[in-house]
Amino acid sequence: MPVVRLQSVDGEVFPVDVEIARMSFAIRNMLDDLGVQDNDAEEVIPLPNVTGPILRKVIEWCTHHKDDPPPPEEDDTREKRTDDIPAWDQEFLRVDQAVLFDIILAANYLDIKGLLDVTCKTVANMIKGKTPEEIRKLFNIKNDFTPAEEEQIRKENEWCEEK
Amino acid sequence: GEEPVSISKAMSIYLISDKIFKYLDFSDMLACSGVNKVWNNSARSHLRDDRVCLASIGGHETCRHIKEFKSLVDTSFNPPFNGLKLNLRKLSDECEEHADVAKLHPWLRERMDIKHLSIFWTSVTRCPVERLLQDLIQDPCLESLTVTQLPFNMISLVRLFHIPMPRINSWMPSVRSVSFECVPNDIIIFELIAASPQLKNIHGMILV
Repeated sequence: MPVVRLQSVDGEVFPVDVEIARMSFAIRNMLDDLGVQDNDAEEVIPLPNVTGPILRKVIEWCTHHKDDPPPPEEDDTREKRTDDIPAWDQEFLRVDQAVLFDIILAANYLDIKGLLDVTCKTVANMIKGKTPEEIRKLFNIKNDFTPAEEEQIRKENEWCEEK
Repeated sequence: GEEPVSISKAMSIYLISDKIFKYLDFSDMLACSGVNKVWNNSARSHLRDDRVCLASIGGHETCRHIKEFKSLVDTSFNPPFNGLKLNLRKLSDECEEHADVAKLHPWLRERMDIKHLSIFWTSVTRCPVERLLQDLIQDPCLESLTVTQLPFNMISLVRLFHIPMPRINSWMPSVRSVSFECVPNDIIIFELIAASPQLKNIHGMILV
């Protein structure tokens, strides 16, 4: 199986099957632009936005999902379900919140749609039904509003109606 | 502990926050806008761009309501609204702000795009908000009209919308979608369709 070598920002190099690396549209474009042939096993692709531990997770996810059918086109009329995360992914994403968001940033940068979808869905599930204070506590976010700004937002939210 | 930088970084990237918000319902979106400034900014952009977020005005105390709404928006650093819900019903008598009502639409236009308008009309009224309604239906930003209740006859409809006489079509020049949450009669439906040259969708129970 042809292999490419992905290098994280901290210098770790991961040999990865080309087929798996190409699940990232960013890497796919780089390979196509470089005109890399399947047998150029020595090619090193630097990924300046991804650290070694996160890249390891991303490769693990891609390897497990390499035979998935391509994700369906976005359809705005479809109901947005969040209760359909596969058990393997749920287990895989049982990580520290900082790590979860690092994976999201990597999935966005590398343009891996399936991974971005499932991680964003996971975050949405964590947010659902919570108050602003509970969300702050959950993600360890600092409240940077002044009391007046907070009161303003509270009042505005009272005015908001969906229809 | 320290606040993880990856969270605020991710939430400030539109492609990411938008994907997360798509899975959340309206009340979750309001909660997100109260978390911190980064979340407020992305949650409210999503509300204004991809959702319907109406400020509800009118009822028996329309003038007081308008006053409150104006001061709310004037002190806002990031108003969430992209539409109005107008409740038009008989007023209790004291109504002080008639004179200002012509300035309401220009004031609104400077502060937000009114893309959605919802109308709940219950009876012939001298409510000055009718003037705002008449200005809004000609606003080029207006995309959708939701009708919870409308007049049953043309005379009241013409009066409510200030439909020009002799009749011209296209008095709602930019509306692309009309939803009926009531069952209106044919005359009213046909009038609204004729009024909307951009109309693409009609939703709701219609008996034709």
